[in-house]
Amino acid sequence: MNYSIWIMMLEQEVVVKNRLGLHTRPAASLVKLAARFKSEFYLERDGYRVNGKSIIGVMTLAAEEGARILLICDGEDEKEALAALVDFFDRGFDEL
Amino acid sequence: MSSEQYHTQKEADEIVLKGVAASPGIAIGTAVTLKKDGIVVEERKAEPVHDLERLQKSIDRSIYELEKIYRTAVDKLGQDKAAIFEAQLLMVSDPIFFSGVKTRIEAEKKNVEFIVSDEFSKQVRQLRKSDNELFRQRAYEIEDVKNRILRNLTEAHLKSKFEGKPIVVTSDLTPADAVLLSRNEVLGYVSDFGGARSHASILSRSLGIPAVVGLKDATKHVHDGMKVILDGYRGVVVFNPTEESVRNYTEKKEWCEQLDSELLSEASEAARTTDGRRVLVEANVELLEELPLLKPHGADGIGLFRTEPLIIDAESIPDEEMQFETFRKAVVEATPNPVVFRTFDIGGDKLFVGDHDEPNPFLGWRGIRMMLDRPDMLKEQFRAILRASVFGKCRIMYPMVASDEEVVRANALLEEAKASLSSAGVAFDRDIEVGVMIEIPSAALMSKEIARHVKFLSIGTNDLTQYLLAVDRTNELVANVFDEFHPSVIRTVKLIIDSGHGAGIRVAMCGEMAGNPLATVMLLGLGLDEFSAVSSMLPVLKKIIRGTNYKSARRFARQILKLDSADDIKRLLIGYLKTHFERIYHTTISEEYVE
Repeated sequence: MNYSIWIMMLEQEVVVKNRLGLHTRPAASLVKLAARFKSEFYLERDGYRVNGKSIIGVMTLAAEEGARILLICDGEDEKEALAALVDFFDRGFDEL
Repeated sequence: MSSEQYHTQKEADEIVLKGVAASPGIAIGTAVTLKKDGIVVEERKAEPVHDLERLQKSIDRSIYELEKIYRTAVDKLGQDKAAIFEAQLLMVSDPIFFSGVKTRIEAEKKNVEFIVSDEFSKQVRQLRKSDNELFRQRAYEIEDVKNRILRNLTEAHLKSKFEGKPIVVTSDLTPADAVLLSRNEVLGYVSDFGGARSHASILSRSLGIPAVVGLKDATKHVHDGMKVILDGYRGVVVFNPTEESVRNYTEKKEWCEQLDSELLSEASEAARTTDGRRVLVEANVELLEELPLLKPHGADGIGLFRTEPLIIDAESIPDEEMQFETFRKAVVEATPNPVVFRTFDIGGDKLFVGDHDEPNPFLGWRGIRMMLDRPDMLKEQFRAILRASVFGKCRIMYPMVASDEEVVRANALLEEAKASLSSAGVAFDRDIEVGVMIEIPSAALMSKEIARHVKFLSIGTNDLTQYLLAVDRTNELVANVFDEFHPSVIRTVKLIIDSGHGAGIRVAMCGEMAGNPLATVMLLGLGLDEFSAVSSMLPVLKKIIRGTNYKSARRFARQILKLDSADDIKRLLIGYLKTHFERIYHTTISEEYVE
């Protein structure tokens, strides 16, 4: 048992880079990516937080190009999870 | 086109309804109804164990349905267009969302319908708070999923498999329905809502399934197993037809099919009159999916490539690269014939970008006006078109021009776009031709001056009619005043053609009149050089042109110009078509013109 999961939590701010924003298609890819990890995953924008494993939640973020989003990962594989998710944002959801 | 309906009681119980002809063809068969009444959700106490079980069954059923739709969409429409159904699949199985629903069912002991509906509504409200119009519009995707779950809770599954070859009658045909149902041997689609340009209608046409839509209350008149005749040429549906009607339509179906195959086999022949005048017959294109139809329909190129659907597809202004890719595909497909790209025509009844509201959108910020206020967006589009021009022949056309000054300004921006490509060493066609759509009365009156700055004019009859007669055709109160055969419209068309020819340039028409067989001989006689219409009409236009003598068409046009009422003009046009091209008259002229 890794006790650090109770006290540790990783977060990083990212910016939506693609022109269309976090619309339906990238939202689908994002949840599929998040589902590969055991960690819990949240996205927060201006104090509004959604569960990153919920496509409906992610869609309600309405994150357009330039939106700043805080990614929060919490769990045993949080490091890998956060790295993968940040990378997906950096790649502009492969729509650049 | 009017979607007014009327009932005629030829015999005791035959019901004739009139709607919008959405996909051509005649079908005679039995009805299968697809009831999709709005689901009324009540709030009541419920036993959680029982309702949790119902929820799971509904989710499983919805997943099953969407998997089927997704697979079919990948098959028939490709991975890209199918992605939306994949996202819906993820939504119906969203673990976080539904665990919230389950928790509430257990805690509140209320019925699952109420909780599901309430939870979805919260999400929709959240999404609608967005400042971004395009994100707010995504709310309907969540609504679709909510409706699917609610419907499956009532266990009123929509049928998707049928025995035999039915005609499907439904209140509203969604794109998902059109795709899914086509896996059966469906003879035709009939629906209460929808228009000729709705996505489901476009899909019906590419699937080759006859359809009549916009019938308002067709579903009220029909039950499963009832005999139905559907005339997708005329936009007519007959429920419970008499034996006589069945005989007549069976006969019509036979010769229509014969005419269709005749038209298609001759489609590649040039549109040349019996005395040798050659005109061009080109396609109006909205979607890349329409490109494979160009060759079989004998298109002499694309006379109008609408670029604004790109915005709708991409849900935002697409960048230069994305536009270039799309344009290149169209140019390659049309080559060696030209493609006329109309720059973004946004505003009016077409889509707003961003949150933007005007009291009089048709008289407001639209077409070239908007683009001249956003020069970077226009230059980006110019660059995309210019880059595509090395793959074939491209032309550029400006919409909604009111004066020659706008043409001069747009041309200057085009030169800037060319210069930026040149300095970057990017190749393009330096002789690319520019034209203007003439659809505003001021531009029509000044068409001589405008013609000096361009290589062609293209008449947009829909807006021209609307502005000449001061009628908003989407306003039902005055829609009957909208008449493209009003003498003022015909005379204005003549003025524009004469202006173009006076300046030594070509004149085309890309409005609805260009694709109306009633108008073909008259337009030919007025001197029109190029007809651009929906591609399915091109074989018909070509057949009429090939069967006409240019000199007699000119005489006919002069006769029309003397008339001073729309009714007289239409009577003459109808009489001409009926006498000279009777079979075409019976397959293409919508019911509103039939006496």
